[in-house]
Amino acid sequence: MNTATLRTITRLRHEQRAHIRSMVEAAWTDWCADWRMGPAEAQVEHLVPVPAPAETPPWQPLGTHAGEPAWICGHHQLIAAVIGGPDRSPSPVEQRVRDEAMTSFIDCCCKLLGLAPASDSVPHQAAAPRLLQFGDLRIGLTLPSRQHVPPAEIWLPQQAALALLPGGELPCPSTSLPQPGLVTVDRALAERPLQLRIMLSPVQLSLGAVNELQVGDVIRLDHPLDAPALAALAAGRGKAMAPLASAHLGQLGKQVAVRLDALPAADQLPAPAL
Amino acid sequence: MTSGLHKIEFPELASNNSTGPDIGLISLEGLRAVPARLEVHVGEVQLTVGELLSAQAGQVLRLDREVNSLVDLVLEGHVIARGRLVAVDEHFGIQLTELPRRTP
Repeated sequence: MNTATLRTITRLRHEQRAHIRSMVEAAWTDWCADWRMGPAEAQVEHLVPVPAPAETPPWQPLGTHAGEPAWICGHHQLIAAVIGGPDRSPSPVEQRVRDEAMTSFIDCCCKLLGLAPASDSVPHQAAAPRLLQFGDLRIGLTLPSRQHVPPAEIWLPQQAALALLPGGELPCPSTSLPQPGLVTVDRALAERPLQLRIMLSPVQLSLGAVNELQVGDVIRLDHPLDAPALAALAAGRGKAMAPLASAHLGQLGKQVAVRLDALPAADQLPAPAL
Repeated sequence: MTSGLHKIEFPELASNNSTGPDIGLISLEGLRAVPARLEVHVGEVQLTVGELLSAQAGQVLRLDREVNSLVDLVLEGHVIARGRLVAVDEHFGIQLTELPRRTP
């Protein structure tokens, strides 16, 4: 089974569920009309993707779609409740009428649900539960005016359910699954912390001079007082730093601060200190 | 062809550690003339990529140091001294206040 398709059936949209529901209810309505039972009174009470329930009703073949069987159970009681009442044992004639009514209902279901009539090759009851798979639809049909009658159940293979959808096409998983929106690179990196280092112009001394430095010595920098400092991205100890902007030194209360200048073009910035 | 030419044969040198005496370059004295480039780090500020991308000219950033804090003198990524920023004529200068202890 295709996993993407399985996800699709479990994520049927409301209108898609409503469409399948209307097909099942229409099958009942058609059957009622064929048997002159008056206004339809059945409705779909649930339409859920399996996992399989704990109990295993006595399923019987309903029809097939692309070789996969659909199943039905509990329709006997539903039909009996309508045409003869379930509480008393039917006469042979009544039983024959009920059998024909059930066959007729199955025909209506197959017609509305796009199923081929079940053949003798479709395995019966015992095989049914093993064929039920996660992603199939379980549809319950009840009579609201007769609460004591348990619902009929239709087990529809997911492919058959999908074929019922408007257009008869499988929804494309890539468009039916929710996907996160794309974000730009700068937004993706927006929260990443950076260390901006403020530096004055480097000074060049001989190693001999550096080695003779003493506390109290004053090193004159080749950096005018009114010249901006360099703001560079710190890339770690000993690594080249990417110059970013120039910035004038100042203070903000007791803290050293800088005022950023307009960002110059990359080729106008000083070379990184190496 | 010039006469008196001979093939040079270099002696085989072992690559093991030498056990001979020092060559005399036990400090940087022999490298006195080698130029060194010292960076002056005034301070740092941490911000996010988003803040940086939205930064505007004239924006003021508070650094991680107080006004009377020392600045770092950095050689090859290592702080080799600290000092106070001073004005020397019309230029910045650093008056050193901290140096690493020298081994005798």
